[in-house]
Amino acid sequence: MSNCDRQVIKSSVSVPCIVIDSLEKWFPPTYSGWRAFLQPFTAPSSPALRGISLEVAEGEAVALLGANGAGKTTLLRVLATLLLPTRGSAHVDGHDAVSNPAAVRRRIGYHAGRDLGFYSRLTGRQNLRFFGRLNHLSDATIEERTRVLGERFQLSEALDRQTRSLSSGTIQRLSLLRALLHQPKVLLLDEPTRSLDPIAALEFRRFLKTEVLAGHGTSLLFASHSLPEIELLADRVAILQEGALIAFDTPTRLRAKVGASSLEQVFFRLTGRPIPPDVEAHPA
Amino acid sequence: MMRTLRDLFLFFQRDLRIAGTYRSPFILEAIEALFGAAMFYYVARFVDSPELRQALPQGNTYFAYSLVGFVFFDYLNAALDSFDRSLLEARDTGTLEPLLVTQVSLPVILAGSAVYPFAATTLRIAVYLGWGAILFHFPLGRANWIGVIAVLLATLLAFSGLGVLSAAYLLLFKRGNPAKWFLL
Repeated sequence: MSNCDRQVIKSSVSVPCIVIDSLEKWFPPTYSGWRAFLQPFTAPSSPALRGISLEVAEGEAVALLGANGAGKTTLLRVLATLLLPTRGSAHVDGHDAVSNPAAVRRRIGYHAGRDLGFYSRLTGRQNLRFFGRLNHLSDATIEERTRVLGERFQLSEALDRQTRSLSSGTIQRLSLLRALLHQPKVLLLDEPTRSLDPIAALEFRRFLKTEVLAGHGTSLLFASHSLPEIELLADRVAILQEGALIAFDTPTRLRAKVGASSLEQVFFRLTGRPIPPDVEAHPA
Repeated sequence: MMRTLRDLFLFFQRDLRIAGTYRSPFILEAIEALFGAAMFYYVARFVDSPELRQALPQGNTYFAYSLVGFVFFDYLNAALDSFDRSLLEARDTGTLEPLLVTQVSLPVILAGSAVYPFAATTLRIAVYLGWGAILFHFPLGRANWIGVIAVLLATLLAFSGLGVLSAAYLLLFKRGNPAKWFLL
C-alpha cells in the first residue's frame, strides 16, 4: 500500500477536524479621499472566497495552493476567527468560528504570513511568555516548551535578545514557535517557511511531519507557494483560483487526473495558465 | 474573575517592561512634572488678583485650582486616548492579530491595554501634586481624598466609554478620535 493510499484511508475514517461549508467572503470596495467615509457602509462587492467547501480530518495535512489573491490567506483568517464570513460556515473541532470563536481559538495555532507581530522592545522569551500566558499556559509549561522548541528551531540564543534586533527569518521561527507553544489541535499556517533559509525550512518541514503531524495527530491547514513543501507535507491539496476551489485531492490523484508528472504541471493545467516550456518538458 | 484580573495584570506587566527598556523614562517624567508644576505656579502668580480669588471656591488659590483642573484634564485625556492609541499601536506593530487569536476576549484586551496608561497617569499626577506641595505650597493636607478618588474613578469610568467608542471608530475608519475632537 502506498503512502498516499494509506493517507486517503486515514482521512476517510477519521473525524473531520475542520469543516468548511459553502464559505463565501466578500470585501467592500476600497475607496480613498472623502469616499473612504462611505466604505464601512458600502455593500461588499469584491469576492475573496466563493462557495468553498472542504474538510480536513484529524491528523491530516492539507495544503492551500493558488496564485496571489486566490483566497488562501482569507480562508485561514476566517478559520482563525479574524474575519467573519459573508455566507456559509466554518467549524473547527465541532465549534463554529462565528458563533463560538473562543472555543475555536482554544484549539488553533495560527501563524500569519505577514505582520508577525512581536513587541520589538521585549525579548523573544518575554514575548512568548506573554502570549503563552494569554493562552492560559502555566509558567512552567511555557518555559519547558520554549526551551524544547527553541532548541529545535535553533532559537536558544535569539530568545534573550530584543526582537527588534532579530532577522526576519528568526522572527518567522519565533512566530512558528508561538503558534506551537500551546500544542494546538489544529495548526493554521500561512506560508510557514517564506523567510526561512533552505536548511531551516527543511528542518521545520521535517519537524512538522514527524513530530507535530505524526507525533501528536495535529491537523494542519497551510498555504504555501513552495511545491516541494506541499509534496512533503500535504496529504491533500486544495487548489484555489479567484476565491473558488477548483480541485481537492491527494497529490498523486491530482497528477493522475490531469496526466501530469509534477504538482507544478497540475497547477498550470487546472488553472488554465500557459505552461512554460521548462515545466512542460518535465518527464511524465 | 481572577483570570480576568490576571489577564489585565499581564497587559500591565507587558507595558511596564516595554517602558523599562527606554532610557530613564520615569526620571524624565518627574522632571517634566517639576517644570509643569512650576509653570502653573508662576502663571497663577501672574494672573492672581483679589477678583479672581473671590471667583474661586473659598480658601483656594488659583494655583491649587489650576493644578486640580490639570489633574482632571490628564485623566480625561488618558481615558479618551488610551483605548484607540493601544489599538493603533497594536495594528501598526502587527501585534493585534496575534492578540486576537489568543484565548483572551476583546474587552479584556482593550481594558488591559489601558491599565498601564491609567497607572502611569496616576503616577504622573502624584508627582505633579508632590512637586506642588513640596515647592509651591499646594494644600495637599486640606484635600478630601475619598472625594478625590471617587470623582477620579467616576471620571475614568464615564470617559472610558467614550474612549471605547473612539477605538470602535478607529477600527471602522482607520484614523481619528471624534470623542477627543468634541471634548478636548
